[in-house]
Amino acid sequence: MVMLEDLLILRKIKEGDIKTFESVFRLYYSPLCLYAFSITGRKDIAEEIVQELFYVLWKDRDKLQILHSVKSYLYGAIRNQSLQYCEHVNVRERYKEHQLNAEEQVPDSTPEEMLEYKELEEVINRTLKKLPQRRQAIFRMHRLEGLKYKEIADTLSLSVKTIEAEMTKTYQELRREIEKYTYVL
Amino acid sequence: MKSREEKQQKTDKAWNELYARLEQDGLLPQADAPVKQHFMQSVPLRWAACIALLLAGTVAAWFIKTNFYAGEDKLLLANEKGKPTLVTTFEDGSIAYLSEQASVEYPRHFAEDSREIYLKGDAFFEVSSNKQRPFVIETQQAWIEVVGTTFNVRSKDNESFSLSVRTGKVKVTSKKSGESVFVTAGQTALLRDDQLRALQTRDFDQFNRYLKFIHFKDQRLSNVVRIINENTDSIQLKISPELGDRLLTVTFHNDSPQTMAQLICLALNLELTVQQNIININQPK
Repeated sequence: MVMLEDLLILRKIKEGDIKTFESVFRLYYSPLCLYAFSITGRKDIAEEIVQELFYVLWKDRDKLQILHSVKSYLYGAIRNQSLQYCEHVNVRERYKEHQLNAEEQVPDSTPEEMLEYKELEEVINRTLKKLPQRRQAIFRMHRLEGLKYKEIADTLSLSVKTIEAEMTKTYQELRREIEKYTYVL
Repeated sequence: MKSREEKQQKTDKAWNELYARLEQDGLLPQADAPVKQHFMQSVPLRWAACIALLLAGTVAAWFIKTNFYAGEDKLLLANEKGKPTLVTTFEDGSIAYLSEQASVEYPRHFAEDSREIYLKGDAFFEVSSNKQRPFVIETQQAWIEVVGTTFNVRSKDNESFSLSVRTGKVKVTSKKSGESVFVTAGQTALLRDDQLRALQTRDFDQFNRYLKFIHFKDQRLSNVVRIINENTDSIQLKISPELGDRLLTVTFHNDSPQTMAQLICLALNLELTVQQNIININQPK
């Protein structure tokens, strides 16, 4: 059900109230970046996806339709965008390159950022460890090895639908963990 | 672990980047933009502001009341520019829907033989029937005498005056010439160039315009629900009888009946169930 608060927020944003928009941005920016990061594995890309989402959200606010809550809308959109990113690049290549270039990327980051980056990996790993083995394996194959759903389905003799369902559950779990992590901070 | 402050700084930076981008692309509202924003700015806790919005209407109405002249036992209720339709119920149960920039002046208690109010601007009325106490509306140009009916008055500028009757019958008298016409459902009385005439109503949408953006202030739930139902064909709202007297202050903006029902439930902590074309609103079990 749409909450009263969400309806009011939505209405304000549609009316062009930049203050309300800003407060939504500030509340969700960090957790959404982490969520995008957990899917893409790239901090810069994650931030770009989040900024792009908010940019489009404001630009096309007239057409905005939120059926559940603002929060689930944002998380859903970030997930779709992040997945789209993963599909559009050859993840396998990216991942290898990313690993190789890890050293070179460091100079751009401050020590705090590196620390956060590490912490994030920990949050993700911790979440993964809690998952049933099959779900964990599917996530690793998809995210780390860059396999497509179809390829994973063939390897594990499962249907693509099952892979999709397992991935959805993984993303839900990641979202919960990220929320816990960001609100503890 | 990163401190809250650092996280804040990062968000600040990201917000500034986004803001600059929106600004560069001409996507930000102009400086003289919507008046609507001003409630938000006055609330110190940004996040709490969303909840406070509901109260904003009440504050505005209170502000109006205290800022306007209220003579001896007379009350004045005015609606500001750009505000939603302001709904008010008089002591006899008659209801006025004030357009933006409309105002009514009315006695705290009506006289025994008549109910008289003074109107400036455009308004829609639902007058409760009482033949012994005619309802008289005075405007700058005319007197309107009603027995029990619904009609729309346009008296925004000094020159023209029009009144369209939705149900019932109304007598309109020009103040200048003393001339009177009776106007019935589907007709419009038009006063122009000192001539008063009754014509067929063409603009039926005028009745609905009030409901697109509407503010109920301390209205009984039974009234709010009745008004919603009168203006929707697709679905009806039903409340359990004990809830009828609950008071509600709420603003609707082009909302569907379903959304309005949800808003009512959230505001008054009630529950709703849907049965085909009926939305039932009840106390939570």
